Amino acid sequence: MSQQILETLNPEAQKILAKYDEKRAAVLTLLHLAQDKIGHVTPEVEAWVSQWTEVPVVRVREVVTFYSMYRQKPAGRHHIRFCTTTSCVLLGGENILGHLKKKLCIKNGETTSDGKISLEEAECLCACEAAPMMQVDGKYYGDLDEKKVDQILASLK
Amino acid sequence: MEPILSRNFNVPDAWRLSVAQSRGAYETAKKVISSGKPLDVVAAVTASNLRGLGGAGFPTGKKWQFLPKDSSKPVYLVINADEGEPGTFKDRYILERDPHQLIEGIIISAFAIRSHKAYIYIRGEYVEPFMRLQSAVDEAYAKNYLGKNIFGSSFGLDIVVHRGAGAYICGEETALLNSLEGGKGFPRLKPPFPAIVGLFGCPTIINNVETLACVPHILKNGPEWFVKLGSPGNGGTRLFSVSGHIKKPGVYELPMGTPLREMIYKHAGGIRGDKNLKAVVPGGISAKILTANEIDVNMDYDSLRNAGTMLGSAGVIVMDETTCMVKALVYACKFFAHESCGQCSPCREGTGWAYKIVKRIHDGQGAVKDLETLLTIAKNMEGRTICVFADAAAWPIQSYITKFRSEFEEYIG
Amino acid sequence: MANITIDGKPCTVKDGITIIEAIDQANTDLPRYCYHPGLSIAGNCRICQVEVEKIPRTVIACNTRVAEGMVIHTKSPKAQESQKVVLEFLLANHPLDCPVCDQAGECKLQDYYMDYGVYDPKFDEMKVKKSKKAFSIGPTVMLDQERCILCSRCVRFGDEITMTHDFGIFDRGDHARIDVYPGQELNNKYSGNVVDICPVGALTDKDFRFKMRVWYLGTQESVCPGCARGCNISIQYEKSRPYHLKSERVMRLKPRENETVNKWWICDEGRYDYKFIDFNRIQQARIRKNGSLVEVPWLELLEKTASLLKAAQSGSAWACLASARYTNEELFLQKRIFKDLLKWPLAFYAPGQEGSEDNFLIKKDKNPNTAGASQVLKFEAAAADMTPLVEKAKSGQIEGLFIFHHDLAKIYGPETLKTVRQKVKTIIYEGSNQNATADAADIVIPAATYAEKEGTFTNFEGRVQRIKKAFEPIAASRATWQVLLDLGALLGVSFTYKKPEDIFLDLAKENSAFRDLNYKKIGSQGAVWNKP
Repeated sequence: MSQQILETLNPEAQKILAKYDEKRAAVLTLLHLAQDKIGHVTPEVEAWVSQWTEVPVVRVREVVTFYSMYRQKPAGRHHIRFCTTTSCVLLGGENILGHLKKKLCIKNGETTSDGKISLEEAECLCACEAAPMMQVDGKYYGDLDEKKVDQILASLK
Repeated sequence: MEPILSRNFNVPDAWRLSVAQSRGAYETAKKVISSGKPLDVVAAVTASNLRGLGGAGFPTGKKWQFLPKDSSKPVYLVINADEGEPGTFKDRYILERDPHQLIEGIIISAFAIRSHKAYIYIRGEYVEPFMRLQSAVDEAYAKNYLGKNIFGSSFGLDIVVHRGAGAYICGEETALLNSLEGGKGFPRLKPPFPAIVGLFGCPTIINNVETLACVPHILKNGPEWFVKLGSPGNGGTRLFSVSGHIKKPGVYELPMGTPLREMIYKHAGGIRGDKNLKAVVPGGISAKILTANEIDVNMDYDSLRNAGTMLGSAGVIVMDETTCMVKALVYACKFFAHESCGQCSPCREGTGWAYKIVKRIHDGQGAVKDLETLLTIAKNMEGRTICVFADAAAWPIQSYITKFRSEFEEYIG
Repeated sequence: MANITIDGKPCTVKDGITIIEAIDQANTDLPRYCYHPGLSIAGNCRICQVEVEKIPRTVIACNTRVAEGMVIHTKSPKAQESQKVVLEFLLANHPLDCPVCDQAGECKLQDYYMDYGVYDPKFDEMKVKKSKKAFSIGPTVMLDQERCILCSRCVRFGDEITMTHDFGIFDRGDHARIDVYPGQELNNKYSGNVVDICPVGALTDKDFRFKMRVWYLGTQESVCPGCARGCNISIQYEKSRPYHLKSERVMRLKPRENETVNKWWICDEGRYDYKFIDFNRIQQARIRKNGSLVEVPWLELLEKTASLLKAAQSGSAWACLASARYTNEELFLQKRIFKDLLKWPLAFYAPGQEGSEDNFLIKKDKNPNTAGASQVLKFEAAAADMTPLVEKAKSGQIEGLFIFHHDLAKIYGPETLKTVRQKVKTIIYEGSNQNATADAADIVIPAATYAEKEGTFTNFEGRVQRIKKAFEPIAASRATWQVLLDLGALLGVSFTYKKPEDIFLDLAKENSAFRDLNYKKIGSQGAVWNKP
């Protein structure tokens, strides 16, 4: 299944490789490209990246497991990264996170049973001026309180 | 003071070229590229006392001069936009509110070091800032401010915006290079230094976003102007990120050397709910913490070093009287344990070990020997690793326990 | 050159080498895990800390280059403190597996732990658990992720030596773990080497798993007889274990370092092919009487053989099939007896026995001494082919065959052996392991293997290397050179040799390729002969 999607990404992959001075530099970018389309990194994705960049597939797997943003299992349609570092904690982030987990009935690293939302506890996302904050898909949401969190969740389709 | 770096921060759509240009973007670059000389740019930056604003504070002009004079290999300029130090968000402001200021700085700096290829390594989680930055780069290409023959000169420059994927350690410059080359963010052994052997084995300069954003202003107004703005040996103004129990969290552009007390109470409005101050982290989570009695210190590299801490990334985290310092240390140690790359043994084992102990203390299961163990772990990690991550992990442990020992002892009771 | 001082002793070393290389040259010791002279520098274990005067902090010796006038201390309080501290970090999450770990007794964690006295570790938390413990990652190697100290030697070996990229380090922080790519195996021709280079018990050899504690092993220097490269090895055998009820002697083979021949490595085939030393041996001297082979005393066999040989001097239709599996000394005696004295036709090359070759260690000639055989017996390859003689034997033109080692059934097929047996009146077989030709022979002479005798082989590059005796020949078998000396005596040749070294010295006098060589010169690393 992901093989077909990967084939449609080949033209884009070609363009990406052309930007870098060495093929191997495209590993992270190609992984993002594939994950954004497929939802997570499958072994087919790793093989595809390995082929394009001429990097041994074991090195690609190392990259996938090293960085926080690459997932080896599917996430929800919407992915939440909730910041759990100093400034957010100082401003009550723990309680907001607790509320969020209760609302969604999931723990860190899990996805709601309807596959809609997944949650990940993250380290500092560098939006401390708006603590406590979280990232939903690509967007930052700050100055959170329980009401705001509920509103954001309601807005997700 | 007249805003310099932050002058466009509150101007709507200043990230678009049309708005930025109407406010003077690329005028200085045009002058420098058309009629300037690379060595003169280097001299100006050196004379300005500009020091790296990512955290290490190394004199920028001096770093540029480490490049070999005659190398057959291409020179790369790498921009460190992998902001990750807890308490710091000023680079994000530049990236999403005034990216053309950065691009202009890149053009002039690349010209100075004779580089024709620049990579901006932007943190993976910065999705919207990336989109704005990429859009700004595309706009600059469209106007031929990038590409071949910029401003009709013989100078050409390509910029590639490269996204990271979630690893704080990639903010360390050699880890960034390994990540940019498609691998894990493992810091490299030094020597060799990146100026000699860097990206793809070629001479490379890595500079922080804010550092390069200063360059157009230095070239426009002259290095002496920049020197005068700041404190001796620490040039110019800089962006301070203020957060925590503060009334007005945000980015503040202030002269280097501004007193911390003034920053907290005058500029940032003082403590929320008018509570009492308990502690301040002056330079990102790695910086040794200051007590409420220690905030009569000037915020520049040299003063803070003399006070036993550091300016670092200028991420100021304010903690009021309700803060439990044991809990604060738990979260600091958690951060370092999660972000350790794991390459070398003292850091890999030490950060995980320290986190386990502090968590145990906070959970009420501490033992009397634990504090000595923690201090020993911190001391043993320092100076024995490939990069300074371990030192950064050690400093909060050392300073929180030393300055707030009674709180820890209460938990152990 | 740079003049430096190590622990108070001045020495002169090549400029620009690393401190650890200088320390190794000076024969001082310094703990190390990730450093290996055959691999790139990783600098991640951090234990090779030394104190260098004028540098405030200790530095790692593997990535610091020497400079003129450098003063280095490896055992000062400051250096030892750094080393000890790093060791303590490495022990923090290391499982207490010593009682069940094969590495015990040759484990660098154990060794340094004893050296530094880290008996009372401060670590009091739950150790990190990892999922692959006692996990097979291929046909030859077991992985234990918890024991791994992440020195990355195995990763670098797969990247730089075999270029098979077998290993990766996944995840980060103290959850980092070594593994192969899921679904793939460690399955290259040099896989066993990763067990040698792993400083701890994370990668262990399946073949050696739970077999014997290493402190019961004796060790002897030798050379692998598997191909013409002659990788240097150590034969490690059971020496002192009480109640060792099995009859196996050899427990394992390990590569021995030789800069020019095999560096630190050996192929899997050579490493694991030692069972023939203890199993399926020809154990007794036998003569065929009334249709069956019966055990006889050595004297009877020697006298019977000698009388047959005496009656078959030049002109008779006997032939000798020698072999490139024998030592230079034995081939020299074979030449003296079968060629010079008896004047029989002689051959030693078996066609179609070549295997595969690679551009690393493996040679397609699977004999250890083809170069020696050609030189000593004075043959080039074509003339040495056994096939014409075998054809003659099949057509009834050969009356008797003296066969060293070769199994005609394996080389030419069982039909050929059958025909040869029918047409040839007397077959004498000398060899170490059971096979069809031995079973068909009239006289069976039990020979010692390479592990049970002294001698020399000449590898494909003309390097003459010594094999040394690890233990006595099994049962009634005897070293071939001794059997040949006895036969010679019975044939009236006045050999004065007492041991293989004497034979070699005589060979060196007579044969220009070996001139000026002796066992001392050959030493443990071999010496190149004089052939142009």
